Amino acid sequence: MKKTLICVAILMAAPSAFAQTCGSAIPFNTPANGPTASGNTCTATDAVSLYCGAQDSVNKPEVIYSVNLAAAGASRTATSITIAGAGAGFTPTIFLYTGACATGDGCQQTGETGFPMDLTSVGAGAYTLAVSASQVDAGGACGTYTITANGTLPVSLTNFSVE
Amino acid sequence: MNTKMKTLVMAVVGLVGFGAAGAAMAQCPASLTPPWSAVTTSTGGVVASVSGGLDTSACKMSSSLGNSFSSQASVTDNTPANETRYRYQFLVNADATGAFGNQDSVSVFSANSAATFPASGGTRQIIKVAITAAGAGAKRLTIIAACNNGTNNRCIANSPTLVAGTNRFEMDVTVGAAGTVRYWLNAAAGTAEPATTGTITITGGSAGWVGVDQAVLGQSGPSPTYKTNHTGQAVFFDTFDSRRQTYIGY
Repeated sequence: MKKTLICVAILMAAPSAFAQTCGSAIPFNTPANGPTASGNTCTATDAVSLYCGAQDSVNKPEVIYSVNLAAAGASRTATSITIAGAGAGFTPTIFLYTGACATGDGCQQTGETGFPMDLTSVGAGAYTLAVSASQVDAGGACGTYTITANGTLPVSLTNFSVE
Repeated sequence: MNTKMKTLVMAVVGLVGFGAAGAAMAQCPASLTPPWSAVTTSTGGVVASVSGGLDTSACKMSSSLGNSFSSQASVTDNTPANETRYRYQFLVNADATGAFGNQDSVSVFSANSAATFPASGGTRQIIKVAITAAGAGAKRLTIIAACNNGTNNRCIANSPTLVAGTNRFEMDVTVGAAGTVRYWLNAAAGTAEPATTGTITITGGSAGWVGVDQAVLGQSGPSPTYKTNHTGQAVFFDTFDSRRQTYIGY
């Protein structure tokens, strides 16, 4: 039996090359030892107007990722996701939530530059991870960003064969 | 508590408070029902009438949450009956929550319809008011109004920054095809309607929500950081008043 884990290089490419809407979320699970991704929300669309039931995100574009988390332990060693970035009036912020993508509901954790998203209390499951501006930013705020997990989330199994 | 029943030209929807009716009693009531229709506390939420009203009266409402997304500490007024015009006012003091981090938010008020709209995936919240971060530790109110905008049914506005101490918030909601939302934050004293602090454009109207059938006051729906960092911290409320037509003021 052979399991083949394929690191899909395209997942690491700049998200501007892909659709960034809720219907085309970018997987954020590879490579195995600390997924990372970079991009620019200024090239994205405004897919979510409200996060966590109350945080204004009107006219603040976001890049949408999908994340599958294993239960904390051997399969998921990541304990946090950091975000860094830059842009005029832009506070790079990440939202991890379970609700329908465009609603921004069901917030499980948030993070911003200097305040990593804490994953230790987040259970296994499928989540939406959105990169956007903060509620304290003015409409139109956007900029570049890099998000990085400090361990496995876990890795995606993209190919399986029995020989 | 404000025990002064206001004389209204139009019908009163409700006037509910946080202290014992009438006399200048030093002791606050053990129960908030009546005048409120119900008290909801869950997952560590605590709501109580405590001494030191926000309007120099004897008592005020204290609301605090436990460390849980599902924690709630609120009172409910079920006297509205599908009100297509709904004005309300309350005093709020959130000083005890300290400085707000950029990701802090918590709901403090909602005016709900009797039924969900749209029927599938909709909401009963015609109005939701939340205390949210305004940057550099400051707070403001974020208002989410139901609107049939063809996408997420939410029309959103932010108030100016809250002042330290007690803030007076009043809103005038019209539910219908030509729905409107106007609000006042810390308006000058008086009962003649002044210029609004702000308005919300109700794109597509709000007719589907029919009217306000319930009001809920108190903390609920904390953001992840608020849940963790503001456990047990009280937000105080006082002098809730609601009516159909005329400006409330003070």
